[in-house]
Amino acid sequence: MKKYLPSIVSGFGAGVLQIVPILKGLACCLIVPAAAYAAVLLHKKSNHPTTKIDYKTGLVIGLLTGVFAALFGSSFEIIITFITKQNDVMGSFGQIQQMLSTLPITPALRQEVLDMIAGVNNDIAMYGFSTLYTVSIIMNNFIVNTIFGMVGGLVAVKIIDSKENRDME
Amino acid sequence: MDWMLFLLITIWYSGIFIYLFMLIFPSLVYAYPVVNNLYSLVCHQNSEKLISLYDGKTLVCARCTGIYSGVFLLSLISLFKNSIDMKSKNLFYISLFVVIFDVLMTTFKLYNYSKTIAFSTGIFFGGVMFLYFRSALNKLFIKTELN
Repeated sequence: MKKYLPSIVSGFGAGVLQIVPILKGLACCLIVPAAAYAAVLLHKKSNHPTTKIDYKTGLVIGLLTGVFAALFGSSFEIIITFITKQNDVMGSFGQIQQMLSTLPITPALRQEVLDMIAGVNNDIAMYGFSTLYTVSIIMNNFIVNTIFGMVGGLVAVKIIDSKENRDME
Repeated sequence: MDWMLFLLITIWYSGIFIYLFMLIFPSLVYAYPVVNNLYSLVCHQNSEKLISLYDGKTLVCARCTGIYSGVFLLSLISLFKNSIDMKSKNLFYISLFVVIFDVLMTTFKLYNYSKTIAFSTGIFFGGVMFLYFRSALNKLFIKTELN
């Protein structure tokens, strides 16, 4: 359990930050890589403060951080949507509608897509839950967070590694 | 490995400009809500900070578009140039500082937000991040092969 703790703690932090609008606006795509960096640092401090971390370990820690960030982020998103009965998808409906009107597509196709989004919006407004939205948010979170986590984990080892190289010189 | 990396980055980078692809392949409009949701996870998508493309917009803000442009460009260059081993971490901190400085200055209204500056700081940071990432990936594969 101890070896997963840095990833769980950082993943939890990233999951929380991902749903806070102002912080999300500031950190953008750097939340999960930064969480992976923090997890690698925590792992190093708790297990091997003097030895080097290898890249494989960094990759695994990053991957796990991404998985936990996706798990917590998706859960918080679904719970908050369920309680408040609103989310970002509903807010962006007008923008999507406007964007679709500029595309050279048939009115029938445009209406079909709008009906699909409206269906999701209605489900969220009425029940606080939409199957399509939930599946989409879980899948997207797992794909994006695991990839960004692995990138963050590798870059973290690279930076910590180069720091140690410099310290040794 | 470089080609695979370039391919994956190209797919991700192309998604930002899905509006342009929808002009050519209208049936992509079905995927738009899901793809839009995918990029919303990595960017605030503030409409005032998105880059305009004809009548549409990019799926991520100017800074994120810059970051991914930097990653894409460096991944393209890396196909023809040997790996650079990034030993110093100074470049990483400089690029990060530039991004954070611009974010803080615009957040606290010390100067106005500019898409050009945001894009430029992003492209620099993205390029540097890719160099570190590629260098780390090379070492990962070399060590895995040795073991």
